[in-house]
Amino acid sequence: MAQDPAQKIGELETQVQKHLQEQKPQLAIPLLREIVSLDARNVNGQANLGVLLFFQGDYTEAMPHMRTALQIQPDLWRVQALLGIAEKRTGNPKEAQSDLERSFPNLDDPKIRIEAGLELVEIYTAGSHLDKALALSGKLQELAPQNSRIPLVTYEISRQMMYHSLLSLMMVAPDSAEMHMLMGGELGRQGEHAAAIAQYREAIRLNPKLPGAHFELAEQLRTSTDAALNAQAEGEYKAALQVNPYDELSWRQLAGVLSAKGDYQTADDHYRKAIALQPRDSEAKTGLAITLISTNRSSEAIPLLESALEDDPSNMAAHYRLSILYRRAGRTADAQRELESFQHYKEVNDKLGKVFKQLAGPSDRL
Amino acid sequence: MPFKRHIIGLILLGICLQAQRKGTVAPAGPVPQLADITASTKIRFRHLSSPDKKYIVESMSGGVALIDYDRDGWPDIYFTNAPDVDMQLAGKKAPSALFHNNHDGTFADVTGKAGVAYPCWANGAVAGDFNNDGWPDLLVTCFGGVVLYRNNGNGTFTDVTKQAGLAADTFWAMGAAFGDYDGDGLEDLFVSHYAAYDLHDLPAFGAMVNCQYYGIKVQCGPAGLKGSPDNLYHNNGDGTFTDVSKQAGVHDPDNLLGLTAIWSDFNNDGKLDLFVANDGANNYLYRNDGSGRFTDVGYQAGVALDENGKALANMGVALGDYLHTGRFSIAITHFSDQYLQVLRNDGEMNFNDISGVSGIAHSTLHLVGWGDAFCDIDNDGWLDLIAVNGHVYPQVDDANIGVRFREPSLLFLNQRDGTFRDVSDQAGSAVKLPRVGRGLAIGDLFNDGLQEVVVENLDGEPSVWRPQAIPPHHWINFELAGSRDKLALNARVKVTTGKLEQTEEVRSGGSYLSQSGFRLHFGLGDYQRIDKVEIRWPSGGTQVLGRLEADRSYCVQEGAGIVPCTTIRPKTPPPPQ
Repeated sequence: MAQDPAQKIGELETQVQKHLQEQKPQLAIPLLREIVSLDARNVNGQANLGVLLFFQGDYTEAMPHMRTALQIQPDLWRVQALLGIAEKRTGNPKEAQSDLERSFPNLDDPKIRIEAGLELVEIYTAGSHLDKALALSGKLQELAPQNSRIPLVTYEISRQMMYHSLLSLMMVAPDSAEMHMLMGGELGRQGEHAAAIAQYREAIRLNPKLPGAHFELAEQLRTSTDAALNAQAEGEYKAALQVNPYDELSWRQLAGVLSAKGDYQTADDHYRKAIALQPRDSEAKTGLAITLISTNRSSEAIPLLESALEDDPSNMAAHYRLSILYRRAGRTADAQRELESFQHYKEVNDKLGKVFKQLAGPSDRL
Repeated sequence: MPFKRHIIGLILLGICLQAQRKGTVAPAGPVPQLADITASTKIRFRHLSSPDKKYIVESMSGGVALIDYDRDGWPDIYFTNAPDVDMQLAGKKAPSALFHNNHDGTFADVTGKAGVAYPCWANGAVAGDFNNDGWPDLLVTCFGGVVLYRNNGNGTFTDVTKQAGLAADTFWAMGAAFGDYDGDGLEDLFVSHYAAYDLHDLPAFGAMVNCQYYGIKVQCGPAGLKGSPDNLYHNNGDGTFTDVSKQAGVHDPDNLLGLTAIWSDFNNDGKLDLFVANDGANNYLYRNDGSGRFTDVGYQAGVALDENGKALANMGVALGDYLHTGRFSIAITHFSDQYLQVLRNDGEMNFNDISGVSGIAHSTLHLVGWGDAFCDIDNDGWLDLIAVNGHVYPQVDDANIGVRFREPSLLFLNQRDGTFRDVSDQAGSAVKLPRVGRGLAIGDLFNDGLQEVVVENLDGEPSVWRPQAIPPHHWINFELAGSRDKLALNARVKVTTGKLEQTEEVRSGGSYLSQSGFRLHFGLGDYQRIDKVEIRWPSGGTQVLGRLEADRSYCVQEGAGIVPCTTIRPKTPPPPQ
């Protein structure tokens, strides 16, 4: 007498459970095949068979089972995410994108979610949807701040965006002021400061009102080893402000140049202008606070430094100066806390510095 | 209303700047000229140095000590010397030199007789009196420890490093200073050590990331070099020292790259504190807690880092009461892209980086600074600031990056309002002439009330500069003898003249690898006499002297007051039978 199919399926499911508990998926797969042959609408059978085949790397056979499961029950988000990954890996990015976009927001398993997200980022990047890729990588960074793969992915996308922009500019206006400004930036990043300065000067010659050009030139001049070039930075910041009086960064940097020259009155004024334009500029607040301390107005500096740290808790200078001011004000515990924060960020900074140096060149002995 | 607040802020700023002014603002008078008189002194000496300076150890030497070794009241001069790596590996030595002051504007080389030509790979030299016999002894810091020369009182010195228990010090020693930290009347010794460096395992020139400067291949370090611990040696009173670094808490457990060290009572509590400048790292300010223990309060005091919380390449250290507050502020020289840092002492171990507002920082940003000193170059009663510079990489000359190997020196005149005027370009060719300066010491070489500046240059001959073309200002100076420490190290003298109140201190070491004269000098401006002298002796005792005529040198003995100088100077021992 033939066995009742439902009863047979029940027995098979029991055996499947046993094999899976014993970590023997390869023994479970034939049983699941038998289940779906007995009942093609068995959603658990289709879904589990698809998933097990996926993890065996057999994407081609896995996909139909996962699709069938999703037709029966569309809210199997994990299965849909795996289907999307399988589709991507078997050369079907369009369907992969669709499945991953639908499943990603609904996934609750963090590991699967990050994997699905990263696959989707790859699809976006390959399709030159860099804006979407960047937005998604930002989301992934929030979800898994400790995952080292995500910053790398973000960096790669940003680099691609940069080169896309460069290519676009080269195609549209290869001899433009903008092109020279862009080249200046690239050269500056590579440490070719003299060449960068020449590019910025050319950009300004072509378009004296090019936004940002005077500022970038000033930045290169300010950090030059050449005292004569250094002295020209102030003029370029001022030129930047003539082009755009609302250029907050130029106000701030000009204030820094002036305070280094000992012109604290004007520096004070310019820092305040910068803060008025960008009330959350932690560096400007710190710069103003240091100006106040230098001119014996430490009590005014304390709230500024506190505010600077609200804007940027990793502002080392603010922690350091605040610790000293608290100590002088008799706030020993607060001073100690700020000193510890300073030392914490200093350690992080030192570690970063070492990593950069290791990356920059051989360091087997030094 | 923001605009109104802004106006009020500016008014307040003006008020505060006014409040900082203590005396009258200095008149913009003639700038003192520093004339190079090296040739006329007949000092003939050459500091050796390899042209390429492929290794950092070849860039760091060059100390000078003004030491009145024969106690005739005329400062003599000792220059250190160092070989290069190739010389050292070949067993060749570089002669240091001692020049005796002939009292006629010239000096005579007495190195051979004195027996101080070849102490070691010599970096710095400081004076002290470890056996308290009144004859100043000489300590030389070496690439490989220290050498202690006992002054025999007869024009000769004896190397007593081993007998004194200092031979175990084998690290790369740079700064050193004698000071009686425990008040037992005996001068103890602190030695700061630089990098752990092996001549047989040298980092290859230009090979690594720490061996490049703006893309140019240069010597490796100091970034990336491991440091060595520092040492405090307690004077046992029997000619020997005991290493008490760890129990005192000054052993530098982080192995920072120690350069200049100097003793002073920074918080006026009667106990000697210790400042140690560390290259590329936080400075230490060890507060003397008593009972032989110290606590580093560098961060809390605001002297560890720059105003932005960044570690600087701290090299030379000058102390001076440039504001007439009775407190010693600190001036530290640094590498290029940094600034000569002036840390104003606000009392109770609180310092404020006022390098910018004082007018010092801006002129110093592109220079690599070494020896520095607060000294009243024009005798107007206000301490000026002088510093010598010179890069470490000769390769910058071929690199077209706006930096030169030889660099001009700096002279800042005290404006009497907390600010300084940079007169480096107007103070004569000696200051302007680019050089590779290292050590710097100050002293009245010719007993005429003018303080000469002696500079040891890394490459070539030293320089002696003499102030000229200054107004006919008055002066006074004091040679001190303590009841316990005969050199009276860290005795403080406060001179009151009308509205002028100046404070100075006898110190061992300081500047960069150097020793200035022990005699305390005060410019008096137009005052022809002083009203009062208050002395705080290292024994803890105080002494007050009444009116004294200006333009004279005085010898002062603790308890006795003004005495003939022969009273406080030791007698030359009879020659051995």
